[in-house]
Amino acid sequence: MAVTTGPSRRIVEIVFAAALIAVAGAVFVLSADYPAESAAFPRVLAALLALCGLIVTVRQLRHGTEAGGQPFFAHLPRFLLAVVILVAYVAAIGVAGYLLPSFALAVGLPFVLGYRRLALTVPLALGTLAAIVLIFNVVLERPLPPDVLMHLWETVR
Amino acid sequence: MIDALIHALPHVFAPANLLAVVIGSVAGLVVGALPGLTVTTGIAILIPITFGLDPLFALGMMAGMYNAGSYGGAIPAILMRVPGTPASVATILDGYEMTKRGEAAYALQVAVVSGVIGSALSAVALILFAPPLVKVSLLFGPAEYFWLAMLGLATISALLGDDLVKGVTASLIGLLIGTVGQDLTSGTERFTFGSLELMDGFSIVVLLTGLFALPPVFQMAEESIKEGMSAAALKFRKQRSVLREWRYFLPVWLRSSAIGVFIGIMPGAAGSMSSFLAYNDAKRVARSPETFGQGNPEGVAASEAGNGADNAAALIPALSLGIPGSGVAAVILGGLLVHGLRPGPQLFRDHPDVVYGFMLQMLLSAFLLLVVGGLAATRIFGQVLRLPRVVLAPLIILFVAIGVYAVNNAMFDLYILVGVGLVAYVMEKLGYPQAPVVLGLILGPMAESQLRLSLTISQGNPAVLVSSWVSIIIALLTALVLVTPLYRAWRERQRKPAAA
Repeated sequence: MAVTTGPSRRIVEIVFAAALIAVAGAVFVLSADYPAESAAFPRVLAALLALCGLIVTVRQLRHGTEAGGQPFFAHLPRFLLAVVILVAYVAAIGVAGYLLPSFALAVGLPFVLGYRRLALTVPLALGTLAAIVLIFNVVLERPLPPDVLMHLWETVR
Repeated sequence: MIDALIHALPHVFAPANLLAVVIGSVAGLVVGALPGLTVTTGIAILIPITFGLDPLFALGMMAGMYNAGSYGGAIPAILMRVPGTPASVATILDGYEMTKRGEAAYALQVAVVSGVIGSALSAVALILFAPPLVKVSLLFGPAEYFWLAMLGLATISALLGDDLVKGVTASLIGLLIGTVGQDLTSGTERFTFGSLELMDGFSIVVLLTGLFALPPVFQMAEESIKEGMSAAALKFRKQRSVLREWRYFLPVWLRSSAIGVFIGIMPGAAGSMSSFLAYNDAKRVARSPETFGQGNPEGVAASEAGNGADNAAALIPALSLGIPGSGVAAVILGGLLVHGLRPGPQLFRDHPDVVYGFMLQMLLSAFLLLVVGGLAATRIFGQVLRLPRVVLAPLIILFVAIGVYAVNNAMFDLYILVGVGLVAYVMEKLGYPQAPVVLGLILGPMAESQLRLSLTISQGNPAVLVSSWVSIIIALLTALVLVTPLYRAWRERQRKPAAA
């Protein structure tokens, strides 16, 4: 159960508020290196952000609501899986280009999430990618990330 | 104004720009109809795709997406009792009851015609009211502009979402993001960490897309819904004609549209509120209010007319003063900036063809809804509704990724996109509204530069900020907007112990 649901909403509220306070602190410290006129505005904002983070934290600690005990994630493993796949997808674009990782994502993500009808996902992925290439590369003349398949495409064009 | 409108007409009816409105409308219908996706998400996806195109082409797509998307939510609301957008919740009350009685086609017709009338009247209000409001902003100097930015941020922070502190926090996040990059006054690099990509600050396209397009994708993956709408739900035959019954619906359409326009103009107030207020008003004045909630077509008409009517109206303060009336209007404001169009008098002075053309596109897209949102079209485009959401999620990522990459041809933007998307997802689930982040990012640099300019002019005397009656009024309004929710919360707390 714990694996499926993960942290409670209250915990995430507090962690997020603490992160805001930390960011505000970092902004305040970093601003010290800037001339006074450039530092004033971000410093005021950072102070206000830290104050808001503090209010949210204190509110959660003092008057935690019933909803605060509810799990934050509806299904933590699926969320983490989606995040990992998305990060891997972006990293793969940098290495292999746009088309191959995109095809793998469009077919692979539903597959690992339990949707196994490849007869739908494969043609849909190919059709979507064809439309994207048509819109971006052919009509709008915008470059796609360099791809092994694009060399082939350029040859065909 | 008439001259500017006439001059803009040929641009609006240029084949490419007409096509843009049609594409935007079709896409909007689909986006609005898909539960989990909102018009804001759709426009956020559009912005990187249309980056670098002719502004009227891009704005035409946004206009179509806005009007059709706000109606699209009614389709699953009526057919499946699932609101496609938050504004379509009021449509469920009577729409789904009509479907249960076998009147789904009639309910959809009432919804689309009412949406068209609301949207068209709203577009007329935009054309009539935005230019005069611009003249008011000509009275503004640096101090007034600073307060105007504060008022915009205060209204969006206080009125979007249920929690003032979280709204203000979201604004502050946006304002801080806006400070990243080179300070144009002193030339200092702020928070760039030596990165060349951050010299000009964060790309608004990347932020908008990450904030609004990725959270629904994570949600779809988490929910992992493997079923779409059934084919049977999309089979319907034409029933009674709403247009023949116009006399019956006319009072509801007019009252609901007036409510929608009024709510739309109020900065930060537009959104789902209009449809509920219009629905309640129709019920209040109805001869038989007890039939509301039991399949009364007037309920559907009121909700959809009110919903459509706040669309263009929310752009009135956005185009003229830079204060958006709704979250969608805030994103459209970002879309304007992406195309180098800064709202306010300079927009009307320097780009009259674009701004008046956009207003006409809002009107055109309202009427186009009759064609795009009709029964036959709903049957055709509704096929997308049959896709399981778990299949749809990666397809959205494909469009978003390529759109964001194409802005600067930079992988850096894709990494920022993922980071912003994750933070936005957590924020959304914790109840932090995202629109104030966008507005903070847009208004932050303006607020800072105008504040510094005011202080420079007054040789550092802060009294300059309240030295004119316009400044004082806007400052008081800002304070009022921020204090009102606090006062309400205090009253609630006072009542609770008394009730206990």
